[in-house]
Amino acid sequence: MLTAKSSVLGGLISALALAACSGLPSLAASRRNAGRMISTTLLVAGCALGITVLAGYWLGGAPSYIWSLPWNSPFGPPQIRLDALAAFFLFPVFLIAGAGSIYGLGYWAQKNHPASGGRLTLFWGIMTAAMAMVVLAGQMVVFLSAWEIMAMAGYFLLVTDDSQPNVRRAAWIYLIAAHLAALSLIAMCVLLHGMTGTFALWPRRLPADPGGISVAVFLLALAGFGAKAGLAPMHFWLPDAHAAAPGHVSAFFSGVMLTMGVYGLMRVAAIFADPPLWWGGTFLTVGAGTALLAGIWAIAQTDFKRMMALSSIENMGIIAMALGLAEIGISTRSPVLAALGVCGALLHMLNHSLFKPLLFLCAGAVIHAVHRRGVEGLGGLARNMPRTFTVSLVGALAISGIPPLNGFVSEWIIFFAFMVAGSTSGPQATAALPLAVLALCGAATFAAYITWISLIFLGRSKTDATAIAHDPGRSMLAPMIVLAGLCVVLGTVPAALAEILNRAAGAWSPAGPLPDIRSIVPFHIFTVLGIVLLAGAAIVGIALRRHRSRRAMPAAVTTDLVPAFAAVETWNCGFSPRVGRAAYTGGSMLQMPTHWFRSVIRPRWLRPRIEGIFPLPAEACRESPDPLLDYLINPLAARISRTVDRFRRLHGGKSQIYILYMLLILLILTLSIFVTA
Amino acid sequence: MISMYILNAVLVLVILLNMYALGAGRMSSLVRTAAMQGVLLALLPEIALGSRGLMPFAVTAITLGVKGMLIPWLLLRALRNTNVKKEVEPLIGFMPSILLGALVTGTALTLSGILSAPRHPLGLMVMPTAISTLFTGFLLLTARVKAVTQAIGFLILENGIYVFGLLLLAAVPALVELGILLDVFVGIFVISIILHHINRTFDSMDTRSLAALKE
Repeated sequence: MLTAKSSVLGGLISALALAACSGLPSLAASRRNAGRMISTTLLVAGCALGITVLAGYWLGGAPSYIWSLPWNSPFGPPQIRLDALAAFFLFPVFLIAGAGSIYGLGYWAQKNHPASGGRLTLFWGIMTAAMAMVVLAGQMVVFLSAWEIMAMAGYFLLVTDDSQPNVRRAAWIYLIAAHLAALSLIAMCVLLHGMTGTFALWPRRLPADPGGISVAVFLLALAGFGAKAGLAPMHFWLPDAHAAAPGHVSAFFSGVMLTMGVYGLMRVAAIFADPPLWWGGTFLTVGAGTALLAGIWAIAQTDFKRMMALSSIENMGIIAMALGLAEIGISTRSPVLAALGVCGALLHMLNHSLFKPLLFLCAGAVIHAVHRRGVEGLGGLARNMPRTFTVSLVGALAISGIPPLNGFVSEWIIFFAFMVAGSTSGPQATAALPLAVLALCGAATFAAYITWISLIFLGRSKTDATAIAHDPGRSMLAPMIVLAGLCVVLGTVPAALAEILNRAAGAWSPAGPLPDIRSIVPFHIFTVLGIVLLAGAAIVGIALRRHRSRRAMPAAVTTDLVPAFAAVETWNCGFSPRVGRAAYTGGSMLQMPTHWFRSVIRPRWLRPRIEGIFPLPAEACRESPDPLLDYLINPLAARISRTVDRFRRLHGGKSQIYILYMLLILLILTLSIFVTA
Repeated sequence: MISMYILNAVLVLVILLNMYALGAGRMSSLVRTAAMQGVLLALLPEIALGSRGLMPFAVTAITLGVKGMLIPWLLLRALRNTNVKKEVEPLIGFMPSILLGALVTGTALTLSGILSAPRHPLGLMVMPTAISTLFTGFLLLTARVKAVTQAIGFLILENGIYVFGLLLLAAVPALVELGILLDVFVGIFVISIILHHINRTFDSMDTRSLAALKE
């Protein structure tokens, strides 16, 4: 008889197996498109199966399942466990993996990239399975193996375009960061094993220990999972990696891989029944710092994929803040605060893994059309790429927290959690202070994305590249439209998620049941607001269309670089240059906010010296690199590398010398036996 | 009583072969020395310790086959097929090598009494022989240039491990012995393939060329 447990686990395992093996046909027939099609079909089938099983699991009440492999390994039987929290994190994995692989068919077409296409498909499937396994792992060895496979598969996805030196460099930095994270997690697991005596994950409701081991576990987890999630200052790998990867890989990284870090942080936060107050405070502080810095850095970026990566870091900071509030709620025995915090974190995580992949896919579509990553020289794409423009606008508004889109709901819940924290008496009321950070971040995000939208899609085309751009094909558009649709649906009917959030929060809570989120958050208001705003937007849209068709602008303006008559364009400050090249560039648009925040952004100027009466042609440019990388990480790494370089002399390259080392060690060990005897 | 004499005699022979290997100047004689040592050791459980039963016999037969015939054949063939000089190239000269080997053997003989390893009831020679053979293997690995000598060093090293195994003959299942043997065989097999490739790539079998592969 097929029980619910065995059918859920069997379904999930089959989904994972399908995903993991999906790349093989593509690898086998790398010259042909058929292999790639079969691979994508397999992966999408696996993801669809996974989502179906998850839906059944939620309908079945989301009980907690543990499944052990009957294998008496030295680390105990390998275990898989599924609870409501794990199921919550599994959904984006399957959704984004499926959507991204369809998108990849058009973006990284097999016929254009015969060699790297097969590799990309293979590691895409492995990455999907590994990430799902990270969430499902119920035992340390399974978890760490899956984590490592995920990190390595991510590396291979990242170096898809390995002919570019900057891609290789970004991949190298990613690899270092991934291994530092893995090292901290191994240490964390060892300490946890010491505390509990088992290899099972994740232990729950441990009593607080008088020694410092729980603190060490917490700090190691913060370093390891924080590095994966991109919390400052361990975020240094993230902007370059996201900028260097192909569009759908960036979407996958940003939408799903970062949330693996969040997942780990949530699990670790739930280990101890009575966490000290400063744990929540640390989450809050680190999250606020990350969100603030990344939010401001994001404004100054001219490479829009870097901007989106920084905004991912910012969102991870916001999630960490919400988690901090939840942890403070647990510490101070305030279940309302805990429920709001954890639901806010979970919902924002889910929302981020909808709108951020959407934005990266849009960015990919733009890059695919115009073959450049910077905002310089772009403009006016809304005319040539209307569909991409619409979904980009949805994504940008969603991430900026504008109703009726989903970002608004989760940010509202987090705002509300801050208010609740502030309304209490006692030291935890200071937890409300980062509210200002959250507000500033919202503004910064809005500024960054509106700038992006306006520079790329509005205004006038500045080069020929934009004139021939067009909307991408169906395989690329469909995933974008699906994600945009989900953003709208979750923004207008968030109540649909309330029960799921309740169960996931309940599975998380380290201190007894939490109150029903529906009793705290008035979900129906979002629906009412959403319907009103959507109706309003529809009316305005129809009115605008009528207005435009009545005015009937001549087509010459849209295609010719030199318009026949002067029509003043949007975003040109009322000034209408005769040619697109003379219009304000993206960099000049960004200069003002960059100047405001120059103490945090630390832009680098390359200004030409203009001499003489008739100066030669000259170029000026501005770079906004990562200040933490420049002033903290790089000097530190250089110092470590200098210290370690001394050992290089031991590394002579002769096998004889290496064997001599072994002999010396053996002799020392033998001598030590003699000495002890 | 007589078996103890045989055992000690064989072990002394093994030590003498170690010295001979350290002083051998020709590749082929080095290969034969290692092979002869392997054969002697393979016969030990049967003739000296009086082991009975199917499993020890199987171990002896397989060891004889692999160490006495298969591996020497592989190595000699590699020597024939690759176009190198048949002389051993030492990094530490032959005489100093022998002296070093003698020194270690002497030290092992004097100090083996202190070691808390399980003593064999049949004699005290087993432990020093094992240490001496191990060291000889290591010395050949470190102090010789060519890749074939490294393979032989590896083989002699394994002989030393085998002698250690005699101490634990009752405790260690024959399966483990077979496992070690398989490891060595695979090792030699791989080395002879690598040899072929080094030879083709660098036009020599000098392992020093491998330093070019250093990052």
